[in-house]
Amino acid sequence: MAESDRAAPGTVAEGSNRAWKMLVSFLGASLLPLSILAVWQALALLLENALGPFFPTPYQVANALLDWAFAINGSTATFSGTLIYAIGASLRRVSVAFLIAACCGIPLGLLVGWSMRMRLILDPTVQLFRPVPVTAWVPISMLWFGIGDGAAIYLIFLATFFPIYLNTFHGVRYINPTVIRAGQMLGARGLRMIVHVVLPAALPAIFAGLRISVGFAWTAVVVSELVAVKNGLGYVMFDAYGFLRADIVVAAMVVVGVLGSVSDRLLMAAENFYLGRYRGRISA
Amino acid sequence: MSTQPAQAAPKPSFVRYDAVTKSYGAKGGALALRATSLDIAEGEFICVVGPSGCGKTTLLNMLAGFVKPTTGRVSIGDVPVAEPGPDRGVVFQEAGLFDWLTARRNVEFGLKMSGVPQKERQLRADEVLKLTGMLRFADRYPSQLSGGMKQRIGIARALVNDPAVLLMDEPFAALDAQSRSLMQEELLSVWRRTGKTILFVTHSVDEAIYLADRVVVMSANPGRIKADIRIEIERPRDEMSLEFNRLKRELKEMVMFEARQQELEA
Repeated sequence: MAESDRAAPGTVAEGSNRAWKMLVSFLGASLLPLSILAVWQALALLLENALGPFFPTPYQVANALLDWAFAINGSTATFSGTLIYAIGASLRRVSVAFLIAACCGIPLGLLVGWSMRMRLILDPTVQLFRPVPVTAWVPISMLWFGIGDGAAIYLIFLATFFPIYLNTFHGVRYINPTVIRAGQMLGARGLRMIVHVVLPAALPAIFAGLRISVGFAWTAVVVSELVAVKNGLGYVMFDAYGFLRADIVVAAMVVVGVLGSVSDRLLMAAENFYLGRYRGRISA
Repeated sequence: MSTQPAQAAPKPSFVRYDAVTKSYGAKGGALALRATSLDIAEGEFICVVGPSGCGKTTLLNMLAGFVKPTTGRVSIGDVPVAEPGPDRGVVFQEAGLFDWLTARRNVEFGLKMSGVPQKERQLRADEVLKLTGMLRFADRYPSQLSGGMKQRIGIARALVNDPAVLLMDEPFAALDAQSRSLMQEELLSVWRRTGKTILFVTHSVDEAIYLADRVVVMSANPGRIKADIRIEIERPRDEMSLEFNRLKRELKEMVMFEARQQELEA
């Protein structure tokens, strides 16, 4: 009885303590974004004479973003209400190319990491292509695929394939040899060894590769849409630049940033789903 | 010391190392193991002790099929060892469990690879999990198990395939003293109940005398068998007894002498 009497107020105190801690951590987390907004606003005011509308205030960007998304006041003219189409076009390219890159990069990385013979046959060639920057592929891919999805998807594929392939390959090479021996001892051979031992053991490294490459995918989609396609978020940036609409350009940058961070979060959620139960969850 | 009691008929050899050598590198490279022969009877518990670099793990790995002898031959029941397989269960020093599988799935892995249906897999896994006292923890992942528990799963995972021999490579070396004694007792009880042939590599003379029917002492540079001693002390063995300590002194001197030789040569 006395025990529970003492426990009750303790729990309440603990509860309010937790709420207090959450408030503090929330304030702490919003400190930096708020100060960035403040500095941004101050800079816009300061540079008003020099850059004028080329350095939009946070308010102007928010206004452009909202009209672009929901056509609230027509301030973005022909862009008004078209955000969803731009997102759709870019997202389609990113996901298709990312999927193809994962479907090629993971099996190839597993094979090359696992088999010495495959390493000798394939890896030198792959390593020869890797140092060529994605941007260097832009002209030739436009010649090959013309203006359109093909060129964009090809460029994003090139940007995402190598990190996925390399991380898978290294993940396989650094598997604890005892784990491989255990698999051999238990009768896992050939493809079954790869599927049941090598792949799951390399999965943490594979996820690292996927998360690195999803960032590259958004870089590549913007680059390709600036030059090789006539729609999508990158194209909106280029188009709005032509109309000297810095507010829309920045709004598009914000959207790309948000989408990039959301796709990283999604991969992290998948990583937690597959690896969290045995490895503990990761965050941020 | 290796005098055998007159009444014990020599058992037929089950595991046989026939003049095996191992050298690394090109021809004339470092000789890790000099022509070594060793016979192990079915159901025998053999401990191999010696300083590091004496080739005791190489000896075990040859039987496991991880390492091929340079010359000579290793066989079990007259069948030569070619590659690793579930008929020779290996328990590794660092467990080597599959992190991504629960304890139960780890134990079932070998059965799954050899195509045993799910129903039977579960029954047989339950049996060895019970035998090793791990049934309660069957649904945990290796990261949620202590070192001793991981080794029990390692033993269960090897035993479930009903291997002809159990090969143990310093399995308790990383455990604290209490868990180690506990695991030693449990291993003996598993051995009694299953009658498995066990080859157990350790650097602890105490552990070897406590567990083994025979202790094989090895020396280094190149690796070779220096002594093969039958332990006649009645089980359960009292580590405080005069007999135990007399043997311990003798073996320890042998191993220490080897270690000292190695220091001098290095």
